[in-house]
Amino acid sequence: MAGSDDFPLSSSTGGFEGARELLAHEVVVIGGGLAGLRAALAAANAGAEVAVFTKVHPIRSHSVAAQGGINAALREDDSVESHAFDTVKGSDYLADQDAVMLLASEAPDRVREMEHWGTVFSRAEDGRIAQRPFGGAGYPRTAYAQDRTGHNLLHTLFETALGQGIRVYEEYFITRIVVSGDRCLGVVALNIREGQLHSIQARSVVIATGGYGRIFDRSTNAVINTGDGASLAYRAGAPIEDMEFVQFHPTTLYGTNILMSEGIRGEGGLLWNGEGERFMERYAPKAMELAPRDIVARSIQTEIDEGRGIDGKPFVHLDITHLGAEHVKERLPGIREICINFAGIDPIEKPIPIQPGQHYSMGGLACDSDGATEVTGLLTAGEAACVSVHGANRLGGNSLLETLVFGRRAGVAAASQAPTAPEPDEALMDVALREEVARMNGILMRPVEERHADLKERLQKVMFEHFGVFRNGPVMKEGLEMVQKIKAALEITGIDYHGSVFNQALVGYLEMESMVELAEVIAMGAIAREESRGSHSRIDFPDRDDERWLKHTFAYVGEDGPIIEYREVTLGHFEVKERVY
Amino acid sequence: MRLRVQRFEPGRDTSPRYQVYELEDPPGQTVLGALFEVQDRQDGSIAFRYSCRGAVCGSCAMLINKVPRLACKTQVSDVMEGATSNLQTFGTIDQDVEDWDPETEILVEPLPNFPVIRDLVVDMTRFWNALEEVEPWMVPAEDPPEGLERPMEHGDVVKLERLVGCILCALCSGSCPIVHDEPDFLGPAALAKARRFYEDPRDVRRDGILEMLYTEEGFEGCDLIYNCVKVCPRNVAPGGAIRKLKKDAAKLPALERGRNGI
Ligand SMILES: Cc1cc2nc3c(=O)[nH]c(=O)nc-3n(C[C@H](O)[C@H](O)[C@H](O)COP(=O)(O)OP(=O)(O)OC[C@H]3O[C@@H](n4cnc5c(N)ncnc54)[C@H](O)[C@@H]3O)c2cc1C
Ligand code: SF4
Ligand code: FES
Repeated sequence: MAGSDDFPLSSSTGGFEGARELLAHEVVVIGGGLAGLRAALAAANAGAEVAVFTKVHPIRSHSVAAQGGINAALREDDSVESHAFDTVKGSDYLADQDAVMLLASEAPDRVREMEHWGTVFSRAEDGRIAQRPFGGAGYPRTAYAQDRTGHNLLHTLFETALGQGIRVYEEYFITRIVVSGDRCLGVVALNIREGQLHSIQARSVVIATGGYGRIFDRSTNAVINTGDGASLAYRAGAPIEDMEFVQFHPTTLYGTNILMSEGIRGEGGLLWNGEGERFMERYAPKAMELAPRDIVARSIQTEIDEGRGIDGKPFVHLDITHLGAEHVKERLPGIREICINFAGIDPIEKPIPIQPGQHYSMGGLACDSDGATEVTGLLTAGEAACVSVHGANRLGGNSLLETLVFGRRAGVAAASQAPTAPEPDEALMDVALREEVARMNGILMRPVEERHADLKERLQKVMFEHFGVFRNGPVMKEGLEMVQKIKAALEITGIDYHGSVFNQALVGYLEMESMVELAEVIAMGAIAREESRGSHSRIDFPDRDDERWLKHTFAYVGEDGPIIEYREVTLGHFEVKERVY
Repeated sequence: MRLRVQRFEPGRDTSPRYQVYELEDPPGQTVLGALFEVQDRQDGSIAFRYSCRGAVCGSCAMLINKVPRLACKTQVSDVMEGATSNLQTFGTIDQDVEDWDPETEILVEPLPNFPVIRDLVVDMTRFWNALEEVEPWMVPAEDPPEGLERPMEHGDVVKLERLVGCILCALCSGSCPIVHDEPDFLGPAALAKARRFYEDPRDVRRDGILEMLYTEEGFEGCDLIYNCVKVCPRNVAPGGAIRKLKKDAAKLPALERGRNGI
């Protein structure tokens, strides 16, 4: 192993070392959110030896923030077919229909299993799991635990994993996915706390690193959502899919952009503009406030852009004052708390100021319904992945579900492939480790040309302004150039702290690398796709164009930037139609 | 506005020192926002934990003006207004900081009762180990029904929700004088978690949980000081849960002392 002799920089002068100890696990799961923990449990259950690596403690993962709920056809008068149809229609027909059928048909078991493991779901009169209506769904099928569904699910999975003795390496940051030929050999990780790099051998690696919302300004996502896993896998040769489809949530709290759950509208919340109009009448007269997210987000943005925000400001009102104090306290306690703490408003008394914000990443690492990517031994699940069940627009409540359904499937597949994987190649892992040590020390030794935090802020602004709710060819082209400039600037700058223990400057730099890489792919995919579909809404191409664009975007890493290709969408269950609500 | 932040660099500092940062006007309103402002624009060497910035992930527990709080949930303006703390003091909470001017500066220090790794980042090993000690996972009364959820009364769910809401931020442990004095005491959050499973009608262990924790390391060690109740950002009231554990344990006839013995 690379020892300190090879890398004479010691921690007091700054600098990183490779750890002598080689870590090896049969299945390595990257990410301790819902998808990662569910995959780890499934792999362990299938008899594999598993370890989870995560950059924050599992319960600090972004999954914990999910509010509204999780979809499943649990009741006799609902059906898998209807859940699948709503999902496909919601996706603007870009979802792969075979994957959607799996999502819907495995949903009831996955949700009930969480109940069996201890999740305290809210209950209906008859004692069964309560469900609420959610946008774009023809049936109230969103199961929930108050407005803290993610918290409840994640804590349950964490507790279950603890009970089963799943090994978790927390505060390990993956810096590289090691691929030789077309096979994944393992990963290199930075132990943030010790400040050492490790090579970790694995027979299967599951990427469950979540979304990349923080590429955008005004995001509901946790600060740590920087898309590392998808970006690293892409740089290691796996294609990423449909990255131009970015969901903007219609209702995020003005100021901090903390999410104001769709559950608020599910409970009867109303949207008003500055002129006192319930403006959704103009955009979705039937579904009104409960039209799908992309439609409501565009409606609000249009009101704001046309000067009908509240007092002309960039927000409108989400109103639940008519629901009554009791109802709000019982069903939406978390929302009320957020409004009080972060906006100084009690929604029982006053309407909530909201604006659209980035919320969810539909695109991700391309994979099949067992999580397999194009790199052998490299699997993926959750928001990092693109199966694709969300197509051009995800329905609320379907992504928590995706983490459980496809997390489990990826875990099973990872375990079943492991025994047939060839013997790990220690020499190659060692080379990778040395390269990473040299790379980290390179970042440390470079002078600070520009603070990476400033570059990040610039990137976020460019992405929101040039690739936001509404898009336009020339504006996007200008945006792409700016992204490429930021990428070039990042490559030559260093960081201002050189210690090894808890070096968040280095972590921030590495996250920024991930973000700018993905931003470029989003930009190119969006410019190329000359139509409007789901969340991708172009002023210069306002219509959906199935003839040319009913297809998935695949991006491969190339010498001079992304190489874009296209793949067929899997149809077969539901006929492609116009999407009206 | 000024932040006075406790710094500690392992391998270089022998004891913590304080560094003052000058900020234009309160950015982003919260203390976490102010820390980001420092890290992003002035000094990338400063370390602190964060994730959600919305008071749900439990990462950012620290001592702010001598009160354990979530940095992301604490408005700069509220701290400056200087509500005085009603906590029973001990250890670092009790120690004066030289040169600190509470009128003009916000004092930010690591969460008490845990070893400091660097700056505001503490070693939570003891907290996680304590949690594991109470075996916080569901042990069902019987095999769950195939293809069905177990029914639950709305009332039972509502009763559980307060305890289930714990975000494991460790503010309670950082505020607890017993955690400070007794290295083996499991602490409020772990015991509240035990109560969560005790109260869950689906869990079979019931009195087994009381027996397991009827020790000085467990709920017997608690003196009902209730600092934990005051600092908890989620209104979990761990002290109340411990009081109930004590009460229920007292009702049990000839209860075996727990596995740790006293
Ligand atoms: C505010 C909010 C509310 C939401 N509400 C709902 C809802 O009501 N219903 C619904 O269906 N969906 C909802 N969603 C979406 C849903 O919560 C997410 O899609 C889902 O939780 C993602 O889970 P995940 O396991 O894929 O990723 P995450 O939970 O984000 O976990 C990612 C993991 O990867 C780790 N990681 C990342 N990078 C690295 C690295 N470099 N090295 C090591 N580890 C790394 C992290 O530590 C983390 O453990 C919501 C999203 C937001 C933003
Ligand atoms: S009981 Fe309260 S203070 Fe203690 S860990 Fe839980 S949420 Fe934090
Ligand atoms: S950052 Fe999540 S609780 Fe403060």
